[in-house]
Amino acid sequence: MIKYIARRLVQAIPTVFGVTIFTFLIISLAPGGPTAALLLDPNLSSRDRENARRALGLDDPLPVQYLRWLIGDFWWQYDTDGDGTGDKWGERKGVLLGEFGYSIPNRRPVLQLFGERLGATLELGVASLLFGLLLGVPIGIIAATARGSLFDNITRILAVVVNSVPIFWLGLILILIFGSRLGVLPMGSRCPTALQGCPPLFQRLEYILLPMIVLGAGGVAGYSRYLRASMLDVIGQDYIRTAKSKGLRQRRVWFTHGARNALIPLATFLGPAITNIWAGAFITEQIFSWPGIGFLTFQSINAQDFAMLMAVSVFSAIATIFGFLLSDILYALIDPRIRFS
Amino acid sequence: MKNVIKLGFLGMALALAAAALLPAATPIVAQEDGGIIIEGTFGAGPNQFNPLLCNDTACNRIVGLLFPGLTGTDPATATFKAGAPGSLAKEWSVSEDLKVVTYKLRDDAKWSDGTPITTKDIMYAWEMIQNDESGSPFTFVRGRVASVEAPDDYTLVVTLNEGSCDYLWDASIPGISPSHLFADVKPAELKDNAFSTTPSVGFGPFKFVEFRAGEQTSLAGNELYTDAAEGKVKPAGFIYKVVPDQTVMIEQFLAGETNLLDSPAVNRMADIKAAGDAGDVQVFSFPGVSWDYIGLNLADPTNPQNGVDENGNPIDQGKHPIFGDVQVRKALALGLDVDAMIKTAVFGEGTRMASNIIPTSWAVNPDLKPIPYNAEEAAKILDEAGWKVGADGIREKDGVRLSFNLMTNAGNTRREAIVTLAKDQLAQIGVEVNVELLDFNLVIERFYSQTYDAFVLGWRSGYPNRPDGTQLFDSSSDIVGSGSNMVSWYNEEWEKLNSDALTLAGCDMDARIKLYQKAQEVFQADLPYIPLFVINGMYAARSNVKGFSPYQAQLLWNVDTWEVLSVE
Amino acid sequence: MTARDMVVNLKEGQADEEYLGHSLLSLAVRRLRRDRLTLGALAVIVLITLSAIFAPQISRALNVSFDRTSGTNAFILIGGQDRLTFDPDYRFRARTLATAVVHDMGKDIKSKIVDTNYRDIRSEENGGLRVFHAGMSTNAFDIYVKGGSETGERALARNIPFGQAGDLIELPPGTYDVSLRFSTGDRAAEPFLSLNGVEVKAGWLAMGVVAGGEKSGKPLEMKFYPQNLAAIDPANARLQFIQASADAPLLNVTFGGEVIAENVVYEQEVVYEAPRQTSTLGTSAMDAPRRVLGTDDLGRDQFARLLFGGQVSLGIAFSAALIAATIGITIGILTGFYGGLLDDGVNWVITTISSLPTLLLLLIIIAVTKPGPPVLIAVLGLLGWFGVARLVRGETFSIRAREYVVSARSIGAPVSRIMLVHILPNLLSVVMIALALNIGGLILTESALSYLGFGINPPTPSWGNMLSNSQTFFTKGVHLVVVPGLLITITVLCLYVIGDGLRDAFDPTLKN
Repeated sequence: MIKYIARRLVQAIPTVFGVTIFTFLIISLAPGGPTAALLLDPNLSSRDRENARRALGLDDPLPVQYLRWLIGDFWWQYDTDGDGTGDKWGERKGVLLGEFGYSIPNRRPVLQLFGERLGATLELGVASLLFGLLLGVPIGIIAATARGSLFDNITRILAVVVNSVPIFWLGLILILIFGSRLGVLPMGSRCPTALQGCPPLFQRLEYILLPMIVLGAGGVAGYSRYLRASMLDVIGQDYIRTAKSKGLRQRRVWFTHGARNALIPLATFLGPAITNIWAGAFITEQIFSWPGIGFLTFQSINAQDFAMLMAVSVFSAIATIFGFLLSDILYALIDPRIRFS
Repeated sequence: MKNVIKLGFLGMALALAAAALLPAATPIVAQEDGGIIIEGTFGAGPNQFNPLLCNDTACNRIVGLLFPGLTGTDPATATFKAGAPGSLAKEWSVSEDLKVVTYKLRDDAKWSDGTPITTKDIMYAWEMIQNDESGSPFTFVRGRVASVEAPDDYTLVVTLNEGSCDYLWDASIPGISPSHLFADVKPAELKDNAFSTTPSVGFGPFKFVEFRAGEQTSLAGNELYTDAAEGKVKPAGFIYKVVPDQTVMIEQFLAGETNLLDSPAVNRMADIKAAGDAGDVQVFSFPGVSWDYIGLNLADPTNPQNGVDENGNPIDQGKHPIFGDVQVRKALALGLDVDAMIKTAVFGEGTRMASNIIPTSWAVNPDLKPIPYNAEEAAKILDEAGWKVGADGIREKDGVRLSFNLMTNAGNTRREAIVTLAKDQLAQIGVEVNVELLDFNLVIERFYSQTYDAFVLGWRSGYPNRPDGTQLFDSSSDIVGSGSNMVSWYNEEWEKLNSDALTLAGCDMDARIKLYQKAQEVFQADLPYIPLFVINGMYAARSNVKGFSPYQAQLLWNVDTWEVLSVE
Repeated sequence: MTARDMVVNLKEGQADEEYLGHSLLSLAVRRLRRDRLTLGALAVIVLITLSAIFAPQISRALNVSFDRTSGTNAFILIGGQDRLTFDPDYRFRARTLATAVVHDMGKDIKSKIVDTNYRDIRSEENGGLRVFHAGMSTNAFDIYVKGGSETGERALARNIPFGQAGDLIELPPGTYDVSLRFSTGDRAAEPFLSLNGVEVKAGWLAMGVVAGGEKSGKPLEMKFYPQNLAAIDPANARLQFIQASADAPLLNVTFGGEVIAENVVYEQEVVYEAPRQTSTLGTSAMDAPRRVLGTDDLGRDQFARLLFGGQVSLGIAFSAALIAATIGITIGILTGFYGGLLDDGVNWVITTISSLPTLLLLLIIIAVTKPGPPVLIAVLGLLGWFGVARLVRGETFSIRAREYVVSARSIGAPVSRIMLVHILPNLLSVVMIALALNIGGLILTESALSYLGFGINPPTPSWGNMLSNSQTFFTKGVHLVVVPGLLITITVLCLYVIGDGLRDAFDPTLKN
C-alpha cells in the first residue's frame, strides 16, 4: 500500500511541475508585470520603479525567473559591485523548500496570508461536503428503492435543474429571498460584527447556511444521481435476490445489504468533490463575503498579486491530485476486490 | 473498515443535528459607552498594519488611527499645524536654505505599552526606509532626504537634498514604529513579523484589538491617548469590515449595518443624499482631490525627446501638428461642454477646474474661472487660426486634418463617458476625435513614451495639497519613458513662477499664494492640459453618530469625540 | 454527477435486433422522434437561438432598443416644501410626450407620468386619444368613442383603474364624442361622464384627464388637452404637466432641480421642452408599463438586452464549443489511433491543466490578457477540449480494433482515409452529445465570468453581465435579478436535456 501511494505521488510530480510552468507563463504575460501597480505612484521616480523590478529579478529571462521561484537563489552569488565575481548570496529559498515569496500588494509572506484564510475555506468546504453527502445519499437510496415514484422523478428533475443553474445566481436568489425579502438570514459574511471574537460555528449557523447550500447543491444533485444508479445496480445483483428469496424483509435487504454496497463507489467521488468544492469556493465566497481562499484569490487576481496566484495554483493542483489519490486509496480499502499493485 | 465509515456518517449526522438544536447565536457586541463605529470597506481589505510597510488605502485607515505620524494638520485650513492632536512634533524650524528641518518632539508621548516615544523610533523608520531588504514602500523618501540625525531623544534633524518651502512634505518620515519591539528583527524578516497582523502597540486614539483576515479589523479606544479633546477617547471601538463590493458596502450602510461610509461611488451618491434628506444619515459632500483632464501632446509624437539635455538646456522637440498651436488648444477647451461631462460621467458629482490646482487647495486662484463652453467662439478661433472646414466637415490646414486620437483606459466608465462626449462635442466644431480605449497599462506605456496625441487620465492630489507643479509640468520632468511631464510642456514664465513659489526665501504664505495664482493664469493661457473636473467626495454617517463633522479628506480628525448612540 | 460524467458513461451503441439493417443515425432519429421531452427542449433552444439571431429585427418591430438610454429625473414640488416625488425614476426619452398628472383621493395626493411616444401613432394621417383616470372614485371605467369616421359607439379601452391612463388610441382625424362608463360588466350601464366634440387631429394627441369627483368635493369633469406630437423635437422630450388635483396647494414644478413653473393652480397646464439626456441619475422606472420585461437601471429595455445578450452569450458558447470539439476530435483521433508517446503527452497536458479549477485558470488568463469576445472564445475553446478528446480517443481506440478497420489497414488504405471514412463518422453520436453538454457548460462559465467582471464588458450585453449589478436591485428591480438568471437556467437545462436525450437515442441500453 505504501508502495502504491509512493508511486502515485511520484506520478503526480510532473503534473505539479506542469501546473507551475503553465501558470508561470500565463502570469508573466501580463502587461506591466507584477510591478504594474507601482507605475502610477507619482511618488516613485523611474529609478525607484527600475529598482523594484530589479529587486524582484523581473529583468531576467523567464526561465531564470522560474527557476528562482522554484529552487530559490540562496545557492547563488550575485555580482552587485560589477567586478565580475559574485559577492552577495541570494536570499530566496524557493517553493521546493516551502518559500512561496511575498505578496507585493500586501507586503507579507504568501503562506501567512494563505494560512489566515484556510480556516474559513475549510469550514465552508467541509460543511458543503457534509451537506451534499447527508442530503444526496439518502435521496439517492430512497429514489432507487422507490424507483419510478413521484419522489424519484422529482428528485431526478431537481438534480438536472441544479446542474443548470448558475451557482452565483442561485446564491443571489437565496440572498434575495432570505436576506433581503424575509430578512431571516444574514446577507453575507462569516461571523456577526462584533468588536472581538467570532463565536464557534454552532452559534452562527445562520451565517454558513446559505453559502453551504449554494456550494453543496451541486453535490446533492451529483451524489443522489450517483447513489441512485449505484443502488439500482446493486439491487439487481444476485446476492440481493438471494437475500430476498431467503425471505428477508425487503427494507432490510435494501438498507443493510444494498445501501452498504452501493456506497462503495462513492469513495471515488471524494476526489472530484474536493476539486469541485474548491473551485466553487471562488464564486461562493465572493457572493457571501466569506473570508476564505477563494475571496483572497479573487482579490489577488484583481491586484495582479503574482506570488499569491502562483501559490494558489500550486495548492489547487496539490489539492486535486491529493483528492484523487484519496479516492483511489479509499476505494481500494473499501472494496475487497481491489488490491494495490 | 465498513464500520468505521458507518460510524463516521453517524458522527457527522449527530454533529449536525446537535448543532441545529443549539440555541441561536446571541450577539456579543457589548454596547458600551460611546458605542462602536463600524465602517465598511470593499475589495481586499487590509492585510497589513505595520506602519513601515502599509501603503494602501485599506491599511492606511487602521494605521492612521494607530500611528498618527510626525506632523499633523489643521483640518479647517488643510495645512500643517504644529502640535496637532496625536502628532509627535510639537514645533519645528527650518534653516535659511530650507534644507535642514529641526523637529522638537513632545516628551509626553507614549506607546500604548507605556514606553516613551523618542527619536529612536523615527531613526528606526529611517533605517528601514534606507534598507533594501526591509521591503519598505517608502523608498521615495530616500530621494528627498539626505540624512536624519537625532541629537537627543526629542530632537530630530532632517537634512533635505533640495531646499523648498514644501520642506514639511519632504522631511516627513513615514513609518514611525515601536523600535523597542523590533530590536531583534532583521530588516529582511520585517515582512514576516507578526506585528504586521497584530500591531500590539500604537500611539493614536485607538489601540488594536483583533484582525480577522478578509473579515474585519477591530480597534478599541486607547486609554493612554493624551490628546483626546474631551479627556478620553469616547467611542468604545472601531470596526473596519470587509465586504465584497461597492454595492454591498453602500447597501449595508443604508440598512444601518455599518454606520460610517467613506467615498461611495458617484452613481450612488444620490441614494445616500436621499437617505440624508429622510434624516437617516448625515452626509458631507466635498470637491475631492482626484481630477480628470485631457492631456495634449505638445511635441512631435513621431520623435519623442526629453525636455532638457544633461546640462539643463531645453531641447527642440518639434511641435505637434495640431496641439502645437495654443489657439487650437484654446478652441478645444472652448468647444468642450465640461458641465455636460460632469452630468454624464459623474452624475453631476464633479466640480470644474480652471487650472492644474484643485479648487480646494490653499493656493487656488479664486478669480480664475474655468474656460466656459462656447462652441461659436471655438469655431471662430479655429477659423482665424487657418483651420477651415473641409469637404467632410472636418477642418484642415495646410493639408493637415484637425483629427486626433484620444486614448483612455478601457473599463473606466467615467473616462469612457468623457471621451465619448468629447468626440461628440468637438465634432460640432469640425474636429474629429478617434477614441481609443486601451488597457490601462498600455495607456501608461504610451503616455510615458510620448507617442500619443491626446489622452484622458486623472491625478490625485495629496493632502495637505501641495501646489507645486514641478513633477508634472517642469521641463526637467519631460523625460521620455518615465517623466510625468509627458505632454512636453515648456513655459519659461510658468517654470519661473512655480520654482519661485517653491523656493521663496522666508516662505511667506501670502507671497507664495500670489505666485501660484499667477502661475495658474499662465497655465490657463497656455493650456498644456485641458483640466476637466474634480470628482466630488462624500462621507456619510448614520444619524446616531454624534460628532461627525468632517472636512475635505479629513473624515476622522475628531474621531476621539464621536459617540455612537444606540438606536431604539 | 456533472454533465461531462454522464458522457463518460457512454458506450458504443448496440444495434437492436428489430432495427437491424438501419444505420445508427437513422435509428437514433427514430428514437428521438418519440422522446417528447427532448423534442420540447430542442424547440426551446431553437426558439431562443432564433430570437438571438434575429434580435435586431425583433427589437425594431417592438420599437425597443438595447442600448438607448435617455432621460433625466423629474420632481414636482408642492408648495415648495413637501416634496411629492413625481415618479423620480421616470426618464424622458426622445420623441416622447410625458404627461404628468397630479391627482387626488381626498387628502391623498398622488402623481403619475404617462408617456406617449409619437411613433406610437403609426399612421401619419391619424391622431391619438388617451384618457387618464384621476381623482374621482376607485371604480375602474371603460372609454367609449362615437363619431368621426366611426359608425356607432365603440368601446376603446376597458377597466382603467384609478391613477392609470387608458392605452393610446389611434383614431382618424375628426370630432368625437367620448363617454365613460364604470366597468361593472353591465353593457347597458349609462355613461357617468361624457364630453362631446373632442377634436382628434393628425399627429396630435388628445389627452383627456378626468378630475374632480365626490371625494374631492369638486364636480366630476373631463377635459382634453391637445398636444401636437409632430411638433416635438425628435431629439427632445416634452413634458406636459397637468394639475388635476382640486385639493392640492399651489405647485411649483421643477425639472432636474430647475423650477420651470411656479404657483400652478388646479387645471393649469404647463408645457416644457425637456432636453433628452444621454445620462441618468439614480435608478430607472422599473415598472415601465409598456415593456415586456421592464427596463434596467439605465432605462434600457431588458427584453431587447436579453435578445442581444443572447447573441453574445450563445455566440460565445457555440463558437467556443465548436473550437473545443474540433480540437478535441482531432487530438482524440490522433491519440486514439497512434497511442504511445503522443497519447502520453496529451494525457499529461490534460491531467496537468485539469488539476487546476477551470474557473481559476480562466480568471487568471483573462485577468492577464483582458480579452474581447474573440479572444474569450479562443480561450474557452482551448481549455474546453479535454472531455471531447478523451471520449473520442476511447471511441477511436475501440473502432481501430474492429474488423473493417483492420481489414482496411491490411489492404494498405492510407491512414488519413481510415480516419476520415471509417472512424470520423462513427464519432458522430459522441460528439453531438458532448457538444450539447459543452455548450450548456460554456454558457454557465461565460455567465460566471461576466458576473465577476472578467467576461464581456458592458455596455455590450451578455446574460452574465446583465446580472453583474444585480445585488443593487434587490430592493428596486427584482426582475433584473430574476429574469436573466432564469433564462440562463432554462437554456442550459434544455441543452442538458437534449444531451441526455441524444444519449438515450443513440444507446437505449443505457436508459436507466
